[in-house]
Amino acid sequence: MAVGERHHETGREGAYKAKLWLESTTRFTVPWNAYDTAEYVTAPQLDGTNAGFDLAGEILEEDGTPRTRFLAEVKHYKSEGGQTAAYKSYLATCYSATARLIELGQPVPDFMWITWHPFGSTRNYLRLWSPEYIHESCEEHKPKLGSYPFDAAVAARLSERLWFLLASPKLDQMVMSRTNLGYVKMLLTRGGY
Amino acid sequence: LRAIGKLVSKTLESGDPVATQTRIRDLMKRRLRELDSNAKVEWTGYFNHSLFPDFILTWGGRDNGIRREGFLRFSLSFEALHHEADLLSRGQPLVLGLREEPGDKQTRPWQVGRVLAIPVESFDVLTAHPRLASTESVIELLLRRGSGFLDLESARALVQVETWEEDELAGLFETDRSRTIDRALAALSPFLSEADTAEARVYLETVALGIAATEEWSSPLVADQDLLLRAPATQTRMDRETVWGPHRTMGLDEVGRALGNHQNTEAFERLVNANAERWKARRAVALPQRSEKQESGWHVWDGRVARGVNGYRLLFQTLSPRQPSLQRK
Repeated sequence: MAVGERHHETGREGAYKAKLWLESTTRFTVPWNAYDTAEYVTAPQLDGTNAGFDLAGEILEEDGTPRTRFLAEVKHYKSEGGQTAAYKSYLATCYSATARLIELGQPVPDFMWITWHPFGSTRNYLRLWSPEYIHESCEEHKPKLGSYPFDAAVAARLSERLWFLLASPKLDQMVMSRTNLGYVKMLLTRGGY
Repeated sequence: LRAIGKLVSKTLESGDPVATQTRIRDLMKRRLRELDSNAKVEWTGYFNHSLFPDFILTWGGRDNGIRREGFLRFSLSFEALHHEADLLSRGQPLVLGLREEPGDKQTRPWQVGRVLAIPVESFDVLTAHPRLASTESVIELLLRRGSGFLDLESARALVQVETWEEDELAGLFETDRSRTIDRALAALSPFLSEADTAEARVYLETVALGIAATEEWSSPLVADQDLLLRAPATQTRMDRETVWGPHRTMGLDEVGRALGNHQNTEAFERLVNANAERWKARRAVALPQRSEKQESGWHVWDGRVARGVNGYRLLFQTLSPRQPSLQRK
């Protein structure tokens, strides 16, 4: 397998594992991904382009009804792998999407960064989704904002919609047993049983 | 019929995720109905979920029939899906692909346990084939009991089998249809367990006899009043006038009356027992109707093997065979 293909497969495996992880909680549905349905994992940008993510789905209320849409970037990495820079670019993308969707009068999704490896300094871990860090990231990636000036109110709104999930290499083991899964399925698939 | 993969791709272009899910469900609902009209499809509300099925397929009722979980997947060939396949395999799921997948098709993560995985190209082959009277049986067997990965070549082989009644209608059914049944079983056996393959043979022989007795009016078996007793899956279709016609009632009338009253199992049993030797000599087949009294000791003869009622009860409960078409062509 060529290097590019291997990276493709690794990324796809990460997207698959993240989907399984989220859906196992029963509070997410993740039907769309960049590998099979790229049509539904994009968000419009202030510069007129569309930014692609790895996953898209819905966050559910307790009763299973959709609460809000989300887009996720998945890093199935075994090392830091340049994530510090990539994360800042991602934050600027999320900001740009949020501002553009507000402008269009469309619902703003939540955004997730799901990684298998921490990066940067973990001493300021909470800063990763702060309005200040969003601002800093936008300053470094100004072209993503097109001709629009930075808006602190948009950053504050985005800050509340950012999720940062650090996955474990042992995630595969964090799944319900088949027996328990059967019981849950009986309850949740309603008329099907 | 347009290819599912193309229709799904077009639907995805709509840009509306909710409408897309609805349209794909509607599309697959139609295609599943075309594939097996006896199957009941119930949608769960989930869509392409890792753990929860998109739909539940049932045959023969919720309590005693077969139940399969159905999963829709945009991709079937991704290697890491092994984990998911293993997790879901207990439910004997039917996994249907939605999009054509270019590239290496050798990766078959769903080929595990009792999973039946049908990529979209193979599903198209199965549904695009014109439905012939009584020919659904092979695909029905696959859907109900099959497991494995149905590649394009295998799908085509199964569809080829389905032409049996047109191919070989003119022949003496005992010889010609047995060859066809062998061909059907050869196509099916990679997807059925040994036990299910044995039951499938009995089922297909029954269907073949049904075709002979109900559609080949010149069949020497019918003409000679050799008896076919076939309990119908649907009682309303067991109309003697339709099945045998008024001029064929002699000798069959009594049987037809007994079969028509499915609750009257004691009378049916007496009828079978009274005629056992004569019918056995004539290679008659008696099949019990699904009934609460199935354990009353009915037997089946086909001149070569005598199967106890348990075998046929299992067959009927697990395969819920469709009544062969009773209409003349």
